[in-house]
Amino acid sequence: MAVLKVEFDNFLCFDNFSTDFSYPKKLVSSNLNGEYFANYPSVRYRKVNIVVGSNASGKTSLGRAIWHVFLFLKEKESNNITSLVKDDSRNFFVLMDCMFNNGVFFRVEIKKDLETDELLVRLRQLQAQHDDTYESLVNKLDDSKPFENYLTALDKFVFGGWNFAFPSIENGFDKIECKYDDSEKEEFCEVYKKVLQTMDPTIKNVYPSSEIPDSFIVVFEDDDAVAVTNGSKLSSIKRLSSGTKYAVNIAGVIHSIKKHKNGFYFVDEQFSYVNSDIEIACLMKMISLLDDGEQLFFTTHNEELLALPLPNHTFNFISKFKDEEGTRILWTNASIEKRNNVNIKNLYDNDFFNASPDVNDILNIAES
Amino acid sequence: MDRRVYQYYVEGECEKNFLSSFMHAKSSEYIIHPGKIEKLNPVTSKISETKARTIKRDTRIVFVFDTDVENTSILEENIKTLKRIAFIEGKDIIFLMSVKRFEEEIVFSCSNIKDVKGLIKLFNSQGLSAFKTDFSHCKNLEDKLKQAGFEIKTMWIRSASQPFDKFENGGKHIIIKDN
Repeated sequence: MAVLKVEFDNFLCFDNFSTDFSYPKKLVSSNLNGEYFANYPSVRYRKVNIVVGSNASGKTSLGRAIWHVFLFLKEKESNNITSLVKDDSRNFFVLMDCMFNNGVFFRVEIKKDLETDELLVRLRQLQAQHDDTYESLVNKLDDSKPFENYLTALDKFVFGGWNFAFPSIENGFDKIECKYDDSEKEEFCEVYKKVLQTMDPTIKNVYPSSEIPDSFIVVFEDDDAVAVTNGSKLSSIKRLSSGTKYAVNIAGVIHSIKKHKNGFYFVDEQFSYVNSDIEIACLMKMISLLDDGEQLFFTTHNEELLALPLPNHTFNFISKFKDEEGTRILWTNASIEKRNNVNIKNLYDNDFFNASPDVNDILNIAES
Repeated sequence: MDRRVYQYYVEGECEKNFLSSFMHAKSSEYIIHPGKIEKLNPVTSKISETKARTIKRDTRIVFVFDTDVENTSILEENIKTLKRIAFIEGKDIIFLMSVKRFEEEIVFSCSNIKDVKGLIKLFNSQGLSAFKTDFSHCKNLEDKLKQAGFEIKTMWIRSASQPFDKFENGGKHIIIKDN
């Protein structure tokens, strides 16, 4: 599954925000294979979306917004949406276009009835044909379909298949998730071991615990061992360094992509404590494992990623700016630079994408 | 395109919007080399040592300023600070000197406009102050100036008079062909 477009208004930090994750023209030369749906080759989507932005620019909020829409579509609980509305005194709007591998395209729009406060949804679905493009699918949507009560609109709508990895300081994401069936344990363990040993060469072995359910034992060269247990707190593993604590999440995402368990992956700043080369290696492994119809979002502060040989449209820049209308989110895709031989990192270093923070307030501390 | 980082220090919002617009120019044959832009008049404001220490090695510094003042002592002090603290070599400091003021520099590069009054008229502004606001907020500067026969490659190429005649006007170093 892939997200092709989102629009958010009065939703988390987003006002009048719109961006799409499709691309209109077939690329003349691309080193990223399969940026389209296998049976629908003209429905082109950005398979890998690297999002770079300063602190509090909206990277995690983008993930949370998408995640909550997904939860809403799956669980059909209004709180997933209403809890993210920024200003209750005015209306909000959410739009999301998605397509499944089987060619089912849908647009969901969410708002509330201002008089009754009822949550309203307009869900329009259609089956793509072989020659359809994203634009033709949008044009085929039935404009006469009205908004309905969300429970009526989403009745019988089945949705699922995602993997969000947020920083441990985000609500609910400090818990270790390593619950695997017996058939998967060895395979996950192998991925986990490779990631962990890269980060900490003093780790000798990693193996599934036979005594503690849903646990893995990490053994160090001095034969000290710690248990990494599903449900326990990431911050509670004392022996592991800050970066290696994240290895379990990182390994979880790599394993999940390897097994094509989810289809949609949002990896949010899992590498803040991780060496840049290791981050690049993990990202490249995730990309190489992505299958047709899958999509990866990857947020980072690491500008070294911008020098990687990926299509320009892979790179996105997010920043907050103030103008007469208030503070808004500015989203820029690097495809505004048409030349593929231009180093995106060099443009970023030169603030071509308006994503650099203004650090003058810090520099002015105690300056007369 | 030069792979180094360019750091522009500009006198005001007009220069900032002008540089930003022509860094992203869509249809122009020439563009301005992309770079970070900070509003800091290098002729009247000192670059602190702390700020200088944040400048990465091999950065090219571009000072953008008017030449309607008599004193260059702060500008020269800034040059010394950059050389001493940030290890910037003299050849990597570029001066974009408007003769005498920025709006006059623009007029010089517009073949269809004779004076600043013509420029103010182009922007339908009510006086010079309003023009500066309109210019600094203009979202389609490239198209607007094109109407006046603007040629960017003639910006910042003239020699400035004393006391700025000791600096080379460096338009040719930052105005590059978009290829």
